[in-house]
Amino acid sequence: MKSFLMIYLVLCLNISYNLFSKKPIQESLIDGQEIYNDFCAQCHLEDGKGVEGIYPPLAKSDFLNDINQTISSIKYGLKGPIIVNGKEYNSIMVSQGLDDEEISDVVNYILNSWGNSSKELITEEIVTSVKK
Amino acid sequence: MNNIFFTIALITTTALSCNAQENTPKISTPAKINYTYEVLVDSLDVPWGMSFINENDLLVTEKSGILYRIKNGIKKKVKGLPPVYVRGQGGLLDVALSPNYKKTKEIYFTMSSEIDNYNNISLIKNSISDENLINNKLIQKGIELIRKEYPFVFNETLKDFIETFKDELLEGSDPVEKFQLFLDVNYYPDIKDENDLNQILELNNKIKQIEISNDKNLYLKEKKLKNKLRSIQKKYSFLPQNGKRKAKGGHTALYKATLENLELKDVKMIYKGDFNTKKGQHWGSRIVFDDKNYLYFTIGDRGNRDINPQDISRDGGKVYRLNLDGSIPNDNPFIGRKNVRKAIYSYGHRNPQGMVFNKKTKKIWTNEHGPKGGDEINIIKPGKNYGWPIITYGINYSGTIITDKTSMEGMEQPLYYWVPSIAPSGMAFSTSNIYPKWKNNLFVGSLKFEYLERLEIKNEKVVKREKILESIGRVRNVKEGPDGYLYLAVEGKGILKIIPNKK
Repeated sequence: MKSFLMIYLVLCLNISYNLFSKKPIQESLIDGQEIYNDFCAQCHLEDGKGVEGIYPPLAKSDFLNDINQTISSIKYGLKGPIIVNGKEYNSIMVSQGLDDEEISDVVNYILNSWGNSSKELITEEIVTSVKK
Repeated sequence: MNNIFFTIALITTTALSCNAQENTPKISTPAKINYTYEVLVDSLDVPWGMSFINENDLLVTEKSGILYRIKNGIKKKVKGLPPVYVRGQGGLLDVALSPNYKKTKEIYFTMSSEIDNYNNISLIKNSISDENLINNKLIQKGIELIRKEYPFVFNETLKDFIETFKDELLEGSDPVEKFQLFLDVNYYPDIKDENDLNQILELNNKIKQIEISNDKNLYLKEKKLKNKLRSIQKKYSFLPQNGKRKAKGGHTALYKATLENLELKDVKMIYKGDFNTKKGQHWGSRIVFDDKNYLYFTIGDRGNRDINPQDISRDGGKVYRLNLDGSIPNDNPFIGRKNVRKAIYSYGHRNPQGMVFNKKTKKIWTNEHGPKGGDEINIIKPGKNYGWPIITYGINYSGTIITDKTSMEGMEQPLYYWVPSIAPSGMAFSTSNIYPKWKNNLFVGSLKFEYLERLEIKNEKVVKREKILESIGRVRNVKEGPDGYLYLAVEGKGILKIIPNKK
């Protein structure tokens, strides 16, 4: 009986741990902002507006509609012509060497700043699943 | 009353407009362009460093971690690079041939590295001049024991220790005990917390009394007191710390290797910045040599501007000087000072990404990324403080003020500062006769405005600035080749050669 109880308890703990191990959005946004200011703001600027023709905007940017593409370009880098909010950009963004958790944080921050808003929480697992 | 308002308004607007005003001389666009360019190598993403073996054979680094050897325009990868830590502005950075390359085939390169210094024995070997000493079994065993106890000890500290205590160590004294004694005497920390300071003084007194009394019964008590003392001292970052903590992130490392056709051999790390950090910014880095075969290289402030640049016991925000074998020159400015990184040549820098040896004046020139409106050209003098972030002409990119001071006694003024910032990278003088009108002019790449900047300098003052190859792309590097032509490395493009038009 005792051992049964122990197993039961361990199982319960394990399940609740898995349920609550997701990083809360508030924490992710705070970490994401730090990453953004460290790694992204130099070009895309702190207000996410970028520089027209050189660095595409992230604030109210239609490029972000495709989440996979957004994650992939941060994870693996992006090169060649793209069209953002009707303007063409043709440059290189190299991979910044962020780990998957850092990428999920910064994507959450970008998706919820400067007038952007998103219902979806990007987790580390989602980032891991995005391939080139 | 109205007058006061008017005056205030006037002062405010003047102050604001001063801040935004372009620094003179203003950049000009040439009225007549009598040069073109040819692409030597194309399809490069971020060509960070380049070094010529001859005009048809050069080494180019790609920031993502590739070293290319480019012969007659065909690029091939060089094998044998150590692992590159690509993060933020970091990656594989500069490359430079040794001044003795023809004889030794040796090259140097800088890169961002995750390797933890403290466990890198080759670094100590490099900094101890006496080969016999480092090859002695007792000394080697001693180093091993000390490292176990103090995994985070600076190599320079160990070197000082071994040289001070060599006789005792060779006689077989307990190395860890001697090392602790050495730390107590030499690395007494600059402790600002009064509580800690008082405690340390008190503990030291008690320990001394026990030592004087020579009472063997108090041995255990002495040991306890010593442990307590150590635990307080360990709070201070530059003291060696116990434990298995791995310093996460990375720092800039300088390597030396032998180039055999398309392979690196005898790859040796000869310097590595402390402490590793996950910050993405400001790794530097450029490597140059002077005419006396000293090696100079730079590391940026590693995103810790309030601590690193002004603290010479830490790395980052510095120009360094080493001998070609990686050892520290005896006449480096901070030799003889306790608890400093003795390879430091000058400090108070933000992120120097351009450096050149001025053959005419025999001085090292650098340019560095400042904050907004604070990019600088400096002439490097031994032991000098270039002021970052205590003094600067720039402000934060967010618009907030860093400091209201642009000068201070004991701190160097830049030869020039750019307003607006051009994001300078790479630096070269044109010394050949290929471009007669540009002779002895300085060339600096602009990442931000995507041109090469030509600067005329008279009596260490910039008198003219001009755009060369406007809108060419982010100019990462500029070099004068062995044939006297100017070569540019442009991001997303490749290596370009500037060719004057025939008359």
